Amino acid sequence: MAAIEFTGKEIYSRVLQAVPGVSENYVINLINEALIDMGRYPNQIENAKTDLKHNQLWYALDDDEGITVNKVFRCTILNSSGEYIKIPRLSNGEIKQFYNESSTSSNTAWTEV
Amino acid sequence: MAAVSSEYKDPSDNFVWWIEGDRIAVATSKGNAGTSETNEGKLKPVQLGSGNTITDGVIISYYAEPDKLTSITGTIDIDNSLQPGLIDYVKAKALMDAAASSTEPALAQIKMASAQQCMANYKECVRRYGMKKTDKVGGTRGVVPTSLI
Repeated sequence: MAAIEFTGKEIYSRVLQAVPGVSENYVINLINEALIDMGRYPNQIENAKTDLKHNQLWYALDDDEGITVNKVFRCTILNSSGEYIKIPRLSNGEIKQFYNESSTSSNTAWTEV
Repeated sequence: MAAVSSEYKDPSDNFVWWIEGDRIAVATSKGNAGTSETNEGKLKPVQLGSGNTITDGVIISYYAEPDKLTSITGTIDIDNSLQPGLIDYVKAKALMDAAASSTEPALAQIKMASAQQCMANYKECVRRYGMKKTDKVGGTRGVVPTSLI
């Protein structure tokens, strides 16, 4: 645990000094707007896992998933010894066969590791 | 749907991934899906037998968005070194809104100037030095040469 853990309350009290009379809800909205903007920069790294499914090519990364992903930089697959092995990224991202991706959202359940 | 064990000895030899839009693709050259383009050696989705899965078979690492703040008493999900930047952002936006609704031009100008200063502080804190402030790299280190044997 950090020596100081800021809560929304601390930010709110600081904002009240500059702009008296603003509501808590307004400040929460601005904090979340700031967090979205901060998320565009590589400050926070997380890992998430999901099941590997038969004949499923696509795994959804939309914002309505359990995780919010900005950029994926590593993917690992479970091997027969129970280890996760890094796999290469396909640079052109093309294979000949078409696979429908319309149902991936309901099929993908990411859990933060 | 049945959970099966992974039978891939070294997935780095026969798996690839890529991103397209809001989804990640995981393909393998292992196994045979029964067509000329999906037989052994061609890239296709994993072939485990109908309805089968490998539990927690994939782990991805990614740059993430901080978790949403849902209540004013909730803890904010960012590194402590970025908190001043967050305060600057919130103050800047609040001052901009206050300036816009101000009926007195002189007061509006002062608020706008303060807002711009706060936004400049935020940009410097997060966009310019964010990575440097939060990284945990430091201290002396040794170089281990590759073995040529």
